[in-house]
Amino acid sequence: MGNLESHDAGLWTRSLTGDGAAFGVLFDRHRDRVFRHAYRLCGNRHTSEDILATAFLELWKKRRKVKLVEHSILPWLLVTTTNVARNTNRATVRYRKMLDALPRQEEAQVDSGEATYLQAVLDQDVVDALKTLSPIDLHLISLVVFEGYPVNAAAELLNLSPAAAKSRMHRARSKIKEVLQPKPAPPSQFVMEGNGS
Amino acid sequence: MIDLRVDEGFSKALRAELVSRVNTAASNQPRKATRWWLGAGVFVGAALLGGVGATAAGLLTLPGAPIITPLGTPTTETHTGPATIDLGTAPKEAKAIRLEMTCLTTGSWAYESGATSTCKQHDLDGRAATTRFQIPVAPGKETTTINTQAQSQWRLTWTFVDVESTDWATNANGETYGAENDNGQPELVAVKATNGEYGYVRKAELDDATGASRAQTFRTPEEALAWQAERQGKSYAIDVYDSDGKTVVGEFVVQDGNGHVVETDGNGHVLEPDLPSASTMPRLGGL
Repeated sequence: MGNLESHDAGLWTRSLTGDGAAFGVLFDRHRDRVFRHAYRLCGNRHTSEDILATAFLELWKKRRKVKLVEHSILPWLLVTTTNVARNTNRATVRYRKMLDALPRQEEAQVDSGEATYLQAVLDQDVVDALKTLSPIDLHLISLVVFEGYPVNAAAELLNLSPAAAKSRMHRARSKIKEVLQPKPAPPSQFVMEGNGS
Repeated sequence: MIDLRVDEGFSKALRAELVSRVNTAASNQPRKATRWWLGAGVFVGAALLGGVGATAAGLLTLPGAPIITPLGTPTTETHTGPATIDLGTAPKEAKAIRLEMTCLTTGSWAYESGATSTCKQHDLDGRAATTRFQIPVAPGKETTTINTQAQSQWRLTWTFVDVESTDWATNANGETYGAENDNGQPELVAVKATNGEYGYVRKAELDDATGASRAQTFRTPEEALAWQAERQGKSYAIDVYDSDGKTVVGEFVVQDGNGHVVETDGNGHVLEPDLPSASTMPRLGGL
């Protein structure tokens, strides 16, 4: 972090004075990461679009409460994305009418092909594993593991002490590992793999 | 990974919508008065409609709202810093004293009930400057103490009142509805929605939003603190219904950790609130 690219403070301040163009640049800058994070949490493209839109609409609606971390609005956006993804129906209801009015790609075009199907199954495993985490742990994992923020920066945003954040991280990682343990494979695979001693 | 990109058409339309919202906000005046925020445990009842609120709202028939009759004329005093107010002797038929504290400067106020209220600069001119509350009349109890910072100025107006309770009503689904009163809350609690409409929130949804239901599940202080930290600065919106409990007429927002927490020292004096400075926390009008 800390490079010019992630420095949002100037654009953010301009947005707060009603400069729509500045807000547009912030949207361009963070759109893809917010979308990918939403997808990671829900595993569905259409829902991810809803979450993306809701996160940015919330960013504007709650602008007086937004906390920049390392001069960036991204951590706040990611935490909000996580919150929205955890309770999509409730969170998006406020903007339903607007969301429905936005143009969408055809579903068929999005979800065709076996590769997509397999990817969706894989994604679903991770989605399920993440769902076992408490909200705070999910925020921490999102910020630190997926987005590469230092534990201390994430702790600050989440009002945790650095020590508490570290121990939560440790527990959350173990928990995810446990959930993602490969399930016992069918016998045929054991034969193929062999033990080759 | 499959090609994980936002659909361009969707993205463009969303972007245009966001830019237009930001541009539009610049030309709007702040509309603070139309939003009703609840602080964590701070006068939770204040935004729910009780007797006086219901009367002011023109909802004289709000079921469950007590019928309040003022006895005598209001008394007003102005103070700077903490003060113990001599309320005077209650008339025989008085059941309660209704008080209105109006802040004249910024500061935080702590009341005998344990409740607190805060005035920031932008609260001073509007309705947000006034906190209304009621204390029961008790024999021998003729004073009340209000704590605040030494330099904080405030005005207190109080009236003795007679209070006659009424019952909640029941809708077609058998749900009770009406104003919060001494019996607690009905299943549908009267509120004012953010859009200015009057209506009802479901008690169960309200308890989830305020954390009342969750608070009962804590076994250790650590759990409670972690939960509090998690909610800090977040807001929860719930639906406001007509008395049928089905038709949605607006939304009600419950806000936690609204800016800062009021703290008192061991002697009950209010400590200076830790207000975010303008440089670290951009604050601009409009919501």
